[in-house]
Amino acid sequence: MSLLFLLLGCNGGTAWETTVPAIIGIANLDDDNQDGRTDWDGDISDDENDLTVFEIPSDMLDALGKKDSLRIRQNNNGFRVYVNGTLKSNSEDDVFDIDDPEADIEVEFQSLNTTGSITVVWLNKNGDVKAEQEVDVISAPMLLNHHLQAMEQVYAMEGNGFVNNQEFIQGFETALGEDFTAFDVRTYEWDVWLQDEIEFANLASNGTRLDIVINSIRDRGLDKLPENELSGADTWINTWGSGMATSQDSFGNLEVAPPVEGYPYGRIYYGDWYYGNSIETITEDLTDEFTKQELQLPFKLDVTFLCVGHVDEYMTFVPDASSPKGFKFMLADVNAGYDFLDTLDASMSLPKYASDHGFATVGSIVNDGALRRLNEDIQLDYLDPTWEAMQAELGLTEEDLIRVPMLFEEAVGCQGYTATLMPSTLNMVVATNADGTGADLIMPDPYFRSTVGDQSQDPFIEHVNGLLPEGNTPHWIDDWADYHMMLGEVHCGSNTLRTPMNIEATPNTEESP
Amino acid sequence: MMYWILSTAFAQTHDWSTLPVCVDNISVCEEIYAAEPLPTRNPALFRFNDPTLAASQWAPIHVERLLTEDTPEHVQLALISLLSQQPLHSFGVVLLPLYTHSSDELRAAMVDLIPKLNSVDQATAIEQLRTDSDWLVREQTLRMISRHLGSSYSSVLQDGLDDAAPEVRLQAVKGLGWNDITTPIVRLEPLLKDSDSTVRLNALRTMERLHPGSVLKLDIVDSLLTDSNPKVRREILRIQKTH
Repeated sequence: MSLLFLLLGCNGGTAWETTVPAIIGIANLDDDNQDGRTDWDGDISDDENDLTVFEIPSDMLDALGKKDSLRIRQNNNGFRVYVNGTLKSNSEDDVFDIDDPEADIEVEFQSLNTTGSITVVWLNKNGDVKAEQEVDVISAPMLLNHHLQAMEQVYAMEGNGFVNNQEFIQGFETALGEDFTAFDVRTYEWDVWLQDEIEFANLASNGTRLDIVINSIRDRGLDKLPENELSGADTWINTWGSGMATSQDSFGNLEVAPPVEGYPYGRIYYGDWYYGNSIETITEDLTDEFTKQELQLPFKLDVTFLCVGHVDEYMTFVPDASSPKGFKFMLADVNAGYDFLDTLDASMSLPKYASDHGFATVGSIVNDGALRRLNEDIQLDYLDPTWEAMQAELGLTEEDLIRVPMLFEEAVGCQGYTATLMPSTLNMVVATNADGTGADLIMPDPYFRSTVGDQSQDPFIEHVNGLLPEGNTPHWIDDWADYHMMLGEVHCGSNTLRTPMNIEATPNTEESP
Repeated sequence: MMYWILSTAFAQTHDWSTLPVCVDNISVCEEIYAAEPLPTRNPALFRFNDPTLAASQWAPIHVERLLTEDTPEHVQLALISLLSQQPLHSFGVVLLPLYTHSSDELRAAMVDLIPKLNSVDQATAIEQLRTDSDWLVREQTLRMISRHLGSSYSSVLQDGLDDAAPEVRLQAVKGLGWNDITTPIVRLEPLLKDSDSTVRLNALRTMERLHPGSVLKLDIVDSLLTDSNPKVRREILRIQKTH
């Protein structure tokens, strides 16, 4: 049976004149007692915290006669049932009697995305069946995080040698304090692209929680970071897929929109990169997992204009408590980019752009006709279609959109494919507060000013700050040399652990026929 | 030896040991040159991430290494990316031989240095590359002209419309529109029927940029409205809406 059906249209049985919610739990894939074995494969330890309690509804128990009894039958494989900590059933057709109706009944799950059922049987004093109640048993699907979930910790790579990003790191520390952790990039072959290597996901239901670190098949310098730095009792590290990775397998190309109508857990989106008749995209093993998961049904965008080709390069979502949807969608917009430039003095000098992009002044950008046409093409062929896709897939309207000034330019060594000319504001960390109403937004310093060392003189910063929904706090940090010039930004160089969404069944309140 | 020749030619006197990152340990510089490219987003630039090593004053040293025969091609490609951000007006005479190098990939990469050369050397390089046997080299040449040199090489773009490779035709037709290069409708119209849909898309857009509304008077509009590429359909609808 479909997980989506079970969770969103969930209805327990109605025998015993009651409704029994589905038993929803999480796969026991971690290693709570740190004995080197997945917990499902070992005995239950004192450290175990991933079993799901099943409470037989009181009105069912109240209906039992004095000498009546209960029996439970397991109808499928893939889970186990314990009573007072003792294994009672392990596989399909196992049956056991419950001597004490008040006993603690717990369920353990083997893997993600499995569904099944148990049958609770009411026996009279003679052992005859008086009634049966089938109860759905669901192992929670893996959910990816979206930006309205509270930030628990932000991570990035730190170096003071070949990579020298001390200002970048200090920017995070100032903004987030103890909620930020830096790892030594020297240990990981100078690979700063932490967003690309891992994706945080989780299983959570009924007070149980398993953090999942999806380890990309990109297998670059950061490949061992999850095992070295992020493993723990309540964490499961896993890789979906194998073989030659494309740039689209990096998780800067894997994002989740916040909840919208019909998708209470948000929706996954990622980019496809077209070359002739071939398409480079995320490994099929992972997209298959998303398909099985069902709840965050993925959709795809065309990112072929970008040299790196990741969706996080030109769009993001930020909290907006004043919006009915609770968020705003921020999208790069080249028309807004030129409108912004037109407000500035053409002679305004741009030292950072002069040395690294070949544009000495605002005027040199505005008056570059071919650059303008390149950007017009990107708006028509990619940015406008992205917005149309977001409207179609997420039901967004113009009120949900913030068009962020941005220009693109052919990137060095990219044979005509582009990256953002200004450090992409959209490529930000959204460090959402506990109630999801606002966030610390960690964004790349655009250096769109004559006095490089004085952010207060930066008209781009002033303009974008004015676009942000109330409740969000901007932090503009330096990422120019080690990120922007290397074709990435703040989001690409970091990752964010968030408080999971709790999977819950939505009880069906309608009367059964 | 080559460095000595170069430094004499350009009256500069640099020495390996004066490179900032090499002051304490010259092997560091050699490691940077000799290292296998790191698998990262932009391995070419990343190799020279040290801002002092990337400074334009060290261009002669990088050019020397680029020209040295035993320099591995991946290092040459990295050096080309690095040098593409630096003025190279004085280096054309030594760089021009690389535009006939046996490696297609190297010649294609060398295209990015052309805007940094003086106008005479630019012309020499472009004349060499416009008829290169490799379509990627020709594509990159026209792409570079479209973005950086525009109307100075309008005839190269015009000729590119007839290239056998769709990738080249695409850059040619795009470049004509990007640079407002006067081109008769009859030269553009055949590209609206090109076998490559990205050529059709860009022919449509260029025609609209150079001759606004004219495409709507052509018989081909109906077939563009049902083109297999949704971007073509989208573009013709946009043009219809504009007029």
